[in-house]
Amino acid sequence: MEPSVLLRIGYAAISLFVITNYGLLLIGSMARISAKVQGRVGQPVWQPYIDIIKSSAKRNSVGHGLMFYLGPVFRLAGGIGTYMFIPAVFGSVVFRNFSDSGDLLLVMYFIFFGQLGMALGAGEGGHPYSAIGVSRGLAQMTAFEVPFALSVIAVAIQYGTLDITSIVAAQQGGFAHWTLATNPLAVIAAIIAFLGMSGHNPFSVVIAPQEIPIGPPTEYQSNLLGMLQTNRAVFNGAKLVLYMNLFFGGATNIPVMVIKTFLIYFINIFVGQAFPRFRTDQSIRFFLGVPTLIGIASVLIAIL
Amino acid sequence: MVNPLYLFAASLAVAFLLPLIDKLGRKVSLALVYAVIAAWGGYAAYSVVALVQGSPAVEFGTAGFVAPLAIVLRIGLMESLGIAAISVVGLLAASFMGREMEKAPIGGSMSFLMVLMGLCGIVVTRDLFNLFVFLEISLIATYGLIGFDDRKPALRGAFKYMIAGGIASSLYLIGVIYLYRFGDQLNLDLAIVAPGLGGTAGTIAIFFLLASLLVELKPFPANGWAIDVYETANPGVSAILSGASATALALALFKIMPLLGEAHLALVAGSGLATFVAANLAGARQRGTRRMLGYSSTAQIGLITAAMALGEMLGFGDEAIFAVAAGLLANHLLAKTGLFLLAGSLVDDQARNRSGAALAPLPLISAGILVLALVGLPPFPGFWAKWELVGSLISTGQWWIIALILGGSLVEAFYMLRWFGSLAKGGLGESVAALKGSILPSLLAALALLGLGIFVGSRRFGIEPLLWAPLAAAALFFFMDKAPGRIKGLASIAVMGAFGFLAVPRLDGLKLFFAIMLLGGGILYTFASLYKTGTRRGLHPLLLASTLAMVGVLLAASAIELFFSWELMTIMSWLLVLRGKKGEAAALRYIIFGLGGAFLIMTGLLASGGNLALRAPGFDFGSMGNSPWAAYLMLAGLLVKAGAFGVHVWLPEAYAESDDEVSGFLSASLSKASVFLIMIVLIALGGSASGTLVPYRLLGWIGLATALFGALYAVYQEDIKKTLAWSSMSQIGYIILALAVMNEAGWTTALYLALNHFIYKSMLFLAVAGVIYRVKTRDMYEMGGLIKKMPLSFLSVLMAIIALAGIPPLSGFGGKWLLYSTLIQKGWYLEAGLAFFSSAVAFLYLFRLIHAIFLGQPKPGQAKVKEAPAVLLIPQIILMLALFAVSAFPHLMLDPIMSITSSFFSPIFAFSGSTLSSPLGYWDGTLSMIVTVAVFLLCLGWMLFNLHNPQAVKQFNIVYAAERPFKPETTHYAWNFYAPYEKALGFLTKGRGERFWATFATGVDAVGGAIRRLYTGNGQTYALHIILYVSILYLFLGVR
Repeated sequence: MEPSVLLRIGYAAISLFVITNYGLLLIGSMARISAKVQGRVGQPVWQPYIDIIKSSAKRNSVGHGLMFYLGPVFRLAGGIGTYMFIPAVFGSVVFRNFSDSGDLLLVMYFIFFGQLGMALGAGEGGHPYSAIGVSRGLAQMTAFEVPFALSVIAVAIQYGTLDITSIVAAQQGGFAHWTLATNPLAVIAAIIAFLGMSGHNPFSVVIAPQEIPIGPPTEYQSNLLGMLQTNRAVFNGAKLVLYMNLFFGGATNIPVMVIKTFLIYFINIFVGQAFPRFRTDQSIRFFLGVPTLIGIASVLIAIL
Repeated sequence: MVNPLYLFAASLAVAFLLPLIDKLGRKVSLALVYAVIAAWGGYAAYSVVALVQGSPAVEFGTAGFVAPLAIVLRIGLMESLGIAAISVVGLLAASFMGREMEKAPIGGSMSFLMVLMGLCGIVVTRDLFNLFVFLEISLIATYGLIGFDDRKPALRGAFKYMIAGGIASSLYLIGVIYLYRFGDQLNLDLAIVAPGLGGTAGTIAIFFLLASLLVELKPFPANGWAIDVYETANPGVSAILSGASATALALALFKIMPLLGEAHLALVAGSGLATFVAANLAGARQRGTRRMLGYSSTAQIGLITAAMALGEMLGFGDEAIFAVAAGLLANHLLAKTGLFLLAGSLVDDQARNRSGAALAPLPLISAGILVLALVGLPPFPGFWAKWELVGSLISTGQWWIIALILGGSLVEAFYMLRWFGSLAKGGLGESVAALKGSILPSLLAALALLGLGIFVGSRRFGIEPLLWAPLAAAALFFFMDKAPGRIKGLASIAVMGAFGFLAVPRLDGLKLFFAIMLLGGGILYTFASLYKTGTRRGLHPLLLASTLAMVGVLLAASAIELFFSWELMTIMSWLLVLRGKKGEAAALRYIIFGLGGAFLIMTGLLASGGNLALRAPGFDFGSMGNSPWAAYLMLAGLLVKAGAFGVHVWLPEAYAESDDEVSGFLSASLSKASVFLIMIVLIALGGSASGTLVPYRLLGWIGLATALFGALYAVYQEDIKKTLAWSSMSQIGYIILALAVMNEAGWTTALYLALNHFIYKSMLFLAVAGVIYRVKTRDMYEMGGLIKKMPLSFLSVLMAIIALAGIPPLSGFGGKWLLYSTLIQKGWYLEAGLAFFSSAVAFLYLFRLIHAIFLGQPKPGQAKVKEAPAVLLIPQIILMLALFAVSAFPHLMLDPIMSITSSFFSPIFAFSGSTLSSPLGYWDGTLSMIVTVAVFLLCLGWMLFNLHNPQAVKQFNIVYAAERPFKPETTHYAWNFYAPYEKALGFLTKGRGERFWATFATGVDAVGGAIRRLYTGNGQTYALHIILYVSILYLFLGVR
């Protein structure tokens, strides 16, 4: 039975609440784990909450123009919207979100909504490094989209559908039904693309932490920074849920979702801690090399 | 009918008495000369009228006897038209040469009269020896005429002409002697049936005759003397040589054709074709106007003689041969006369002095009409003749000959249009004030061509009145071209509206859909053109004519009507590009590729059996199923015109160098005309070619390559208009890819993409026009931070790039969803992957565009920039609202589109409520728009709620790690924006297409250069050429 509009909005709010909290805790715990790897004490797990509350409580804020203010709005709207278009938990009415707005293609393209807005906001800031960051980010993005797109196509061929719920449904019934087992090459290509999407090493040249201390992280402050930090949580959560649904069998309840997404995110941290950074042209050439070939191979496997 | 002998007598009498009459004053003698020529003309006109009304041809025997005792003069339709042509040319030339003839000795006027009389004699006589007599008269008089004004170069030319003429006359005499010996007859009609001429001896005798006439017709390579004469003689004399003399000799050749056997005809055809190709190639190197026209002259005559011979050999039928030959001949003589006379008025013959101003409107228009007529473009007689010629050749399967003819025509078009371009842009010396002599003769020639062309077009080919509207509108608006631009613009819109009112009821379905984009685009951009004050000479007639011609393409009901409108559209848009400040080179490339594509389309249309008299309500290509090659030819031509990868080299500059609103017009509207025709061809092809999927896959890959490389090139451009040009090419590539899928999904995608493209590209081009108008530069790195000064333009560009990139919730995403669903469902997986990549690359140049112009640091020199003019903003606002509406309610666009495409294929997409579903997935545009807007408002509210005490800061107040920036040049990152990308992927965009075509052009140029070297200027060498030519012909004759 189709719930009423009000009820759906309520469910969406609950779903959003869950993923936001989960995302913030995820970031916090991953930061602490990374610190332990590096032999430091590290921040408390609930540090992201403290950051956001502090940012929102600032008494002043500085702006460079209308688009500057709208940048984080677009960004957060992009993150929340992406999550809204993905069904988080298979078979749950509460966590279905608004995934009947569109299929996998909608999600893939909506990711760019937030990116675009942020890029515009950063540009209005008037900082040249923001623009440099954006140009690097976009260049890298065009590169990692290729293996990702190929793996999505492989999935679409394999299951004969682009509807995320149907893809998850086809993966039920045990580990052997996951895409990880039936088309591992697609998953490998997608995970490599995910590394690029997350902006961790070796693909962190976009923000280039510890190298460029200026740009959006320094320009944005107060509530605007708080929104960006919130978005990190939500957007991460959305992407992780998407990957879980496409490649790792989806989740039928919240605990399974938490475990699976935690483990997927761990791959990021694992690789990120172990590698230095690529230059932009190196990362472009990397993505269009072996990962793309793996993607093409996965498509061929799916055809056969 | 009057005996023509009286006219001959009168001419001779006047000529011989001229020195005496001259004592009364030069003006009197000249008046008498003109009177005699006018008498010939009047006589011819009278005969033509009488003959057309049904009286039979009349033959007059001298002294009242009949053949074979007397010399027979015949006045039939061919002869009358010939005399009329000669008189017209004579009068026009005389009016041009008037002043020189007054100053020169009286011998000049005598020679003038004798030349014309001799030529008329050649035309009417039926006696072979008499032909020789008249030939000699005209030749000797020509020698005198060439040198009549005593200039040294002309005298040298005359001498070379004498040598060549002497050899030709000797050959003729030998021929006649032996013909008389073996055939016993001198009368042509009797000689044709004489038994003695059937054997080897007769063949050789006729060969001598033929060789002489051929030499006189200036064949390659034995025509160096002629080119030198064309270059050095008075332009009026060149006009007579090219127009009248060549006409008479061509008619003489036509007369003796019944005498010729298969071998002879083959010689004529071969020589003619060789001349056509070689002379055009040599002409392409030529910068001196008169010499160039000389090459063109010999080339055209070569084509005409070849056409006549081919017609006889292949059995086209008398009517067809007459139509082709007469059309080409009339076209040639009027155009050449006009052009020689116009060229004679120019001060500087060589295009070396590039500092001069452009030509004034009236001479320029005459030149334009004459050049377009010569090249064989509508509505002039040459166009109809060429259509008929190629059609007849196709029906007899002569593909190589067609390729030669069209190739030669393309080269001719190249140098003639290049000449016109430099004329229009001021490369040929001084302005009109320095035009010596009157332009009236050339203007009259131009008008005659126009009238003749319209007559042939509407009478013989049945072009309906509405399709003539572009020409009528252009003419009307050229007359009022001095009015202010705004008034003309509003008047144009009114005319377009009226035309739409007449045309739209006749369109439905697919054609109506395209009419929205083509006619709507015309109205939109005409309205936008009001943003600049001033008269904007030439813009509105051309824009109006282009729009009407495009709708004409939709209205066409037969192949010839279609091609007619298509060529009109090409011409008008070419002139629009030429109008741009630096448009000369860009326009030349545009028109050459456009004409190349058009020739392919023409060949395809004729090969498909497009019936000339067809007037079916739909559009029926007839039997294309048996031979899909006709369709492939058409597709190739259409892809050239659409700017597909490989033949795209004309596109960036043509868009960039034309006026800003014209660029938008080209991108949003003109490209859709190609898409429409591609769809028509695919419909015709698809029904029958079920097993041949390979071409469709290939078409898809071509579309994909276009999309990908267009995007890649756009990424690196610094010039905003070049970025948008490459972007346009890329979007058309997607449309072609979608069309190649050949099912309902693909075609829905293509139409959806096309209309979307129209909307958001218009928004982009209009916004950019406003920006360029305010900041006065086209390079993006010279702009910056304009968001505060031009917020509406920014909003328009923002929405446009969101839509172009395919970001939800705007309708661009709908297009992407449709595209990928189509490709994956069809099984074109690799194409889908590459399309993803290409779509991602689009982000790069789109973001660069909006960042470099509107964001970042503003330049101090642009502090006072205002928002774009309201006239540009209003269309953008309307388009923005339309975009929003279509995005929120996909039904609005998709319902009409799907009803069109489901009439061609069985449905694949289906609506249920507001959700569009494909076999693979679904998309609900309304719901995604609602969700997005709701989430956005939520976040906006959260930001506003929590934003305490916001403070705006000054321009350079940024966190910069202990430095203090103060110059936008060091803080606005815009130049070489994607350097790392170029480092990684630059190997893909090395300009290979450009280099290929440049090498090709150099190769053709080199061949022309090699040919040109035959013409050493030495009269003895030319004599040798003639002897060698005749010997080689004889060897080819192959008699034992």
